[in-house]
Amino acid sequence: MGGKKGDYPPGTTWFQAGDDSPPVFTCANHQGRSVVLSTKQWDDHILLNHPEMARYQQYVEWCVVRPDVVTKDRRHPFRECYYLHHVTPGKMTLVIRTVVDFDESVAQRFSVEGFVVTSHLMRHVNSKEAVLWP
Amino acid sequence: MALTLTLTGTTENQVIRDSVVMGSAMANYDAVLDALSYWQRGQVIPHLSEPVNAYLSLLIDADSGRTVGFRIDNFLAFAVHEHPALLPLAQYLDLVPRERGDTRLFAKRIIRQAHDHDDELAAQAKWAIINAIEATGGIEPGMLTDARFAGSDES
Repeated sequence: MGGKKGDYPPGTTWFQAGDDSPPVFTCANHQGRSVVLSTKQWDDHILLNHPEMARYQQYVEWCVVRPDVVTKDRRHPFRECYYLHHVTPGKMTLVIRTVVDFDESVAQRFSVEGFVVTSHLMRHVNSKEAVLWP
Repeated sequence: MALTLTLTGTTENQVIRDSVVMGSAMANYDAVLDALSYWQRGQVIPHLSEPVNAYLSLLIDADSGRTVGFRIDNFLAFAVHEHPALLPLAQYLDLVPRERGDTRLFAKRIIRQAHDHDDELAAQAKWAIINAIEATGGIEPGMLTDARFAGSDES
């Protein structure tokens, strides 16, 4: 599958359109739950919207495996937000925020428990999100 | 999906007036993420996200510290339902809202609606962009740490 969004006929769902791309990585999060980042999600969504993440691909995995903070998404009941602090060579402190969706359909689709939805850079942890961990 | 806007006129919203400049801009919608992004320079550039409320994040150029756009998360599933002032922007982009609370990652493909892009709708869409912070509920206390905004009416 592939192509642009508009290529699919009316009624096609994104689930049907599918993401059969190979994983960028599969890993276990801080609680041992399996998480995948697909190539399609990385290329078509994360890099397209957040080109600054090109140099941080490895950090996305580290963010999920050993986060500094994990919060609950404010709107999505099955999504968790993983934060990893990072100090740039210029001594600027940033946080990498990676959102993982643990919806059941994701688990069925990818044979894992979580799917990396997006990842981007912020200056600090979102204080309005409820902390799940530590 | 993109549109080109020429933003003109002034607004009382100081924050957005600072972040939106006159000239070509681009807005694009990502259906998987359900996120609408607006880029005042007409292209996606590396940035930091600075959330200001439940939906809207300012996009900051890390090098210059300048605001280069904004992103509205949960745009069709929540934002346009809770803040109808955003609806003209969705209509201008030929989007129709998802069912409220539809948080599926791979939700149904967005059904486009035929719509004449008359001047009035274009004006309303521009107004929604110019007033994006206001339209999404303003700046929540403690959300914005940047000193540049400390003296604004919204902080």
